[in-house]
Amino acid sequence: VILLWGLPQEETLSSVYNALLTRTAETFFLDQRRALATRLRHTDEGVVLTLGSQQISLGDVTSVYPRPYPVPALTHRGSRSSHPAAERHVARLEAELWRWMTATRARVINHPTPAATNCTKPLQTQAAAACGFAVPTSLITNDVGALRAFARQHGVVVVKSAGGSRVFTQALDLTDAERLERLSTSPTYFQQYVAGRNVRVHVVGGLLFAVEVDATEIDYRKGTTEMRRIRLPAPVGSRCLQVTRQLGLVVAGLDLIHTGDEEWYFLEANPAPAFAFYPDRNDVAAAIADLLISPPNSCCLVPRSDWRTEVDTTRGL
Amino acid sequence: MDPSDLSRPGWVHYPEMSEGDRMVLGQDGTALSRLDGVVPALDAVHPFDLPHVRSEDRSFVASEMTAFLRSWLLSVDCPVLDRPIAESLSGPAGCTSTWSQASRALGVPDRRHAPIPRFRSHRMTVIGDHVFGRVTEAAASLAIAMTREAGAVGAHLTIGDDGEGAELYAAEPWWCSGHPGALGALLSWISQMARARRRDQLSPAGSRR
Repeated sequence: VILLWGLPQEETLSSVYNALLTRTAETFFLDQRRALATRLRHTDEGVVLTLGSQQISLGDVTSVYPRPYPVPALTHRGSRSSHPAAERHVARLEAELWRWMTATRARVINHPTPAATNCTKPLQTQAAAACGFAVPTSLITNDVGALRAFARQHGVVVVKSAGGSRVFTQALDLTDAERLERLSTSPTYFQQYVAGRNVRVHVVGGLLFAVEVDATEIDYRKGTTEMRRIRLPAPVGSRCLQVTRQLGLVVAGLDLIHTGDEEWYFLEANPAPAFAFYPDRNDVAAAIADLLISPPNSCCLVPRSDWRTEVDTTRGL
Repeated sequence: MDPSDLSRPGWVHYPEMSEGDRMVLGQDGTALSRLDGVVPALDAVHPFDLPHVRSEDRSFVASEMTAFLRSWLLSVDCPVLDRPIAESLSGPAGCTSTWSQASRALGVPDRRHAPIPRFRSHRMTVIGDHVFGRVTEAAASLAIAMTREAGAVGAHLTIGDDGEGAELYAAEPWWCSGHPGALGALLSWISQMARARRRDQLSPAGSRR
């Protein structure tokens, strides 16, 4: 059985679901909106998941594609009671499911442990540099003096999330006194701006899907004007596969910049890419469906809990 | 220090080369060379750790501070008791899958979903080869072996034994216990590591680096 977990109206998840249906794969869709009707029971035979009248043994699950949304989004949609007992039930259910996914031998796309690298972008860039990508110089600081010195050295500087929060990358404005005053609140992630063409690469197992994105804004999600499929040069494709593997991921959305002098910069990797935004969405969904159907050991990517050992954090010492 | 100390201006961290990094202890910026060691005692920074931050910003700031600490603790050039992993700033002991793998490797049934039995269960804190808690020798040995298998130096474990074999009932980072003896062991671990590091720096091979 293939287990999908999330919201049926979410395009990325539904496109994989549809691809699985066309392949007549046995699929169990765990609808997050029905969390209050969902139960997990530990029995002598293993863990049993029930959703209303449907029931599966998690021992029969061969692969999982989790795309749950955070609790506040669901509460906002009014699909959950605000009763504390209901909230506790949902929180416990989600924690149990994640715990099961960390331990199961089923293929999980992506396994929670390596997917957590999304919460520390600087570690991703270090892994990418070790794989041969150029990476922008970065600084994490809450010190205005250090930031000004960094900006003097690099010219245009962007500010982005180091922790994987869904915020837009923007250019730093050193004349914005109010924001600079608030800098001391927390060390903040700054990067040298790299001019060039945005390229989004979806890695699915050993397959690559690349799209070049024209945009009017630094963060292309805010001002996309055109997208076209491209073929990556072989060495760049190989680096994409390598960094995905290095991060312990099976599926990833990599954001790259292709500069005028033929340098390829790595910006970040998204372990839960919302590929429905891109023109190659059907191919990516089909590739993920094929991966979910294939036997668990057919793809080389084994989750590693100690991923940091392969990241050289001593460079420059 | 606690998460609010990250709101004192002066923190500087270059993820690609930690030369030039600065930290803030008390009111002042401090060179990292003054650090003998770091003992992380939190899994992440949470919004409730940040009452001084505007409520609408707390979740975002908590996530950014966690990312900063993870990057900083992985690169800081001094002994760190259990460096962070992707899921926890407290290292492998804070990751549920670590303990699933460790219990599987040692053939100990993982019963963490079940209630802890009132009798014949042993709660203990492990720091390296030291175990704190009123436990049997067999339970202590198993706890040390499990902690090692998990790749951690410190942990707080609850192991049950109903007479037919040991079972794992709870596994957490060491700081979830608060056993007074554990603090002494932590300090001595840090001192030992710091001494070894200084020796290494003074040796001809170390000074060439």
